[in-house]
Amino acid sequence: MPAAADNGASLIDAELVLPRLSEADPDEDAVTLAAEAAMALLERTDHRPDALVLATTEPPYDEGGNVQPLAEMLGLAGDLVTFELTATDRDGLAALRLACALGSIVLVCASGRAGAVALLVGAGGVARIVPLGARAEELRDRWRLAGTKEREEADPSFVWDAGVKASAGLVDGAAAVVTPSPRIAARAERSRGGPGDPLPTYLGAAHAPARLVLGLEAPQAILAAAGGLAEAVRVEPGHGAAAVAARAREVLERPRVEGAPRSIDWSGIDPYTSGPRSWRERGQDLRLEGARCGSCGRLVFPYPARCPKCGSGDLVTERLARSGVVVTETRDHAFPMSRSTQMAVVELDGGARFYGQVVPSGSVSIGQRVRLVPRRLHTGGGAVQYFWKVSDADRG
Amino acid sequence: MPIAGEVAIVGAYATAFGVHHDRGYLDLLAEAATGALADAGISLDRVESAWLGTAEPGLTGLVGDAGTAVAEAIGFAPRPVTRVANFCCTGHEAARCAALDVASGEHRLVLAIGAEKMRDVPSRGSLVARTVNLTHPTIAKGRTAPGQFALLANRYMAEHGVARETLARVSVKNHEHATRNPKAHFRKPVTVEEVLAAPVIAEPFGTLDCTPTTDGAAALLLAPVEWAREHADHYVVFRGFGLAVTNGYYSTFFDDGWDYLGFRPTREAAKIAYAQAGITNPREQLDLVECHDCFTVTELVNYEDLGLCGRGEGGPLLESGATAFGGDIPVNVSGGLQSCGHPVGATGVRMMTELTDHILGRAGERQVEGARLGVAHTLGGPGVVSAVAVIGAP
Repeated sequence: MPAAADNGASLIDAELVLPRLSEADPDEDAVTLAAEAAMALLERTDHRPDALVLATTEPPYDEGGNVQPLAEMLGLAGDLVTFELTATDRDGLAALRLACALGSIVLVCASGRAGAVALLVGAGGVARIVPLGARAEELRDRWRLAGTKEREEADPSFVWDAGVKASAGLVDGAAAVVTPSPRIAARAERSRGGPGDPLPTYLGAAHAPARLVLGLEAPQAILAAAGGLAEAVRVEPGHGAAAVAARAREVLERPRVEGAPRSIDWSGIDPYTSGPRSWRERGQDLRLEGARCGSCGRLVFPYPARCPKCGSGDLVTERLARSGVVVTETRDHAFPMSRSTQMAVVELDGGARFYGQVVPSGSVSIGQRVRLVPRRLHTGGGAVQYFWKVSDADRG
Repeated sequence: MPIAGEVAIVGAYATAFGVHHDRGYLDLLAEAATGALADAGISLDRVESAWLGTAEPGLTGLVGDAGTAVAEAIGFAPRPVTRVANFCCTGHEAARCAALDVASGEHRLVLAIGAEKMRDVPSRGSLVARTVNLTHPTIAKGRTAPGQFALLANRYMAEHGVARETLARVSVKNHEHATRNPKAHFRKPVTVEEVLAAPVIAEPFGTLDCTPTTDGAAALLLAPVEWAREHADHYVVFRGFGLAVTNGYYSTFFDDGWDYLGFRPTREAAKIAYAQAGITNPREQLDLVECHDCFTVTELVNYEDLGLCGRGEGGPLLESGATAFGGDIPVNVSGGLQSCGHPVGATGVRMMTELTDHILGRAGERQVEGARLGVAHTLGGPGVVSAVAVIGAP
């Protein structure tokens, strides 16, 4: 494939993440879902992104930024260019345009509460991404005024007439059409001979990029329109693109459990928190970093002051494996969160042990293979404390 | 001089353990201290220093946060008094520091007091809830006291093929024992069926596998053996005293060297105490054991860690009846933590008053006949600290 040129770049790889249930667990959010998708992606590539773009209209923080904990979880924090797009669900595609313009290795994460997509964009990938037209005009179809809780929605016929028709000119011929109203999107897509939407639920800002990835078997155009903002891209798959699509399709076809996830009652938790502590121990909390003893070779977590085995202070930071086997577990009814919380001890594949909560929709037993996933532990002190939980679900 | 063989208990007293809504922390502390002095026949003005063990003053509006609580309760000023804490070994720690004080020669008559007032707060403000909120914001978040021992229980049952009913029988045994102890929190016997049917706390434990939340205090008056020989009406002697810890608190859960089948600190503390006491065959040489049965499974692994049987043999030892009242190595004839309750700072001291009563032949209905040598054992935190005291006849 040619390197980025004439306003186009290429897709190197992509990963789709969908919850096991029809919606995500209550301790998942746009950041944890994006992190799961991106971690799987980064694990199988040698590319190291120098820019990170997060697109979501369901950000955990209204103010103060969401891309930082994501950068930490991905091990990218430090010298990094970051952008956060939170205007409308069009921003998943807008993030791709931005990535093409940056001309470096860019990790794009688009996520909503129902799923996430991570896309690695740069030179030498498997599919050429060519940004087409874009539009911006004042048109409110779905909005929420600052300081209010209720979302407002416009009359669907108005959205169709003023929004979808106005952006139709951005693409010629057949296209996948994505709008916050799946019904309107399906009608628009049908009318112009598009392929039809294979996704079972609407993924917010991740929806258009997910359509792009799932459609990588053939050349396609994608149009995303939301809130008077529209963006269109053309994708020209090359060698290897079908494999990326097949992987996403496998995720899509994985059996999903019917029903809503188990809710979490956090009202009994009022934890001690400390800003300096959170910052100081962010490697341990967010990157799952332990210490490898330079003297005796043991891998230790949590990050110790000295090696607890041999006392050496010669410690080298090392990320732990996020998979392992359950040593023991208990379902605890005394921990004042929800009706009960399962706790598990996990022997990790690369050494060291993890002890922590099992995800609310999960259940594990001794000897079972499990994975560690990033989740919200609590929101003590008015901040989201992310940490790792034990999951029995196969997602990556 | 060392503690072992040189420091004596010349007075011992425990308050009734239970829910004392009518009495505060200082009242319990005062009753225990004056009780120990009365037992010794020593007036307060002759006591030279004191050590206070209280683990969680946060449950009592920080009364008991420092040794001055002793001065306030019994009028001890200006003499030196220090509060110590070491998780559930806090009571042992008060006794150990008092014994070191005597052994050092700095003071001659020294009080060791353990006190905990746990029922001034409802369950929402309980030790469990406080610990849940006050501990590290991420590491081991989700851990509770029953939950941490339940991790061991599930591994222990899976590894050794121990039945859930065997755990229940620890509770049955200790509740039966408590029917002979007028100072126990619970004095009603329970059946295996009742233990199994009790509300679940942390699987596999139900409420009757867990020590209750209890108020109580206990005190000892310590003196040099040399002094006791000359002046005391009655006394017993520390024959050994071991304390051991692991590298870490919650990090212990992450220790890939831990098998979740027993507690190394108990084995290490017992090794120290037994060596000092000349104990090479604990089951043969000991007449009774008071051990830390905070949860049913803990008593089974304590048997193993204290050397009463081999690893994995705790279940069969219990089932044999050897550890029941009348058996060859009775364990927790007081009713243990299961039935006496566990006012944290008081427990270790309460165990030592129990051994003292048996060795002096004044344990009433539950007297272990001819008892001359016993062990008091506590285990603290998630099994990260343990204290073992061997107490014997002069």
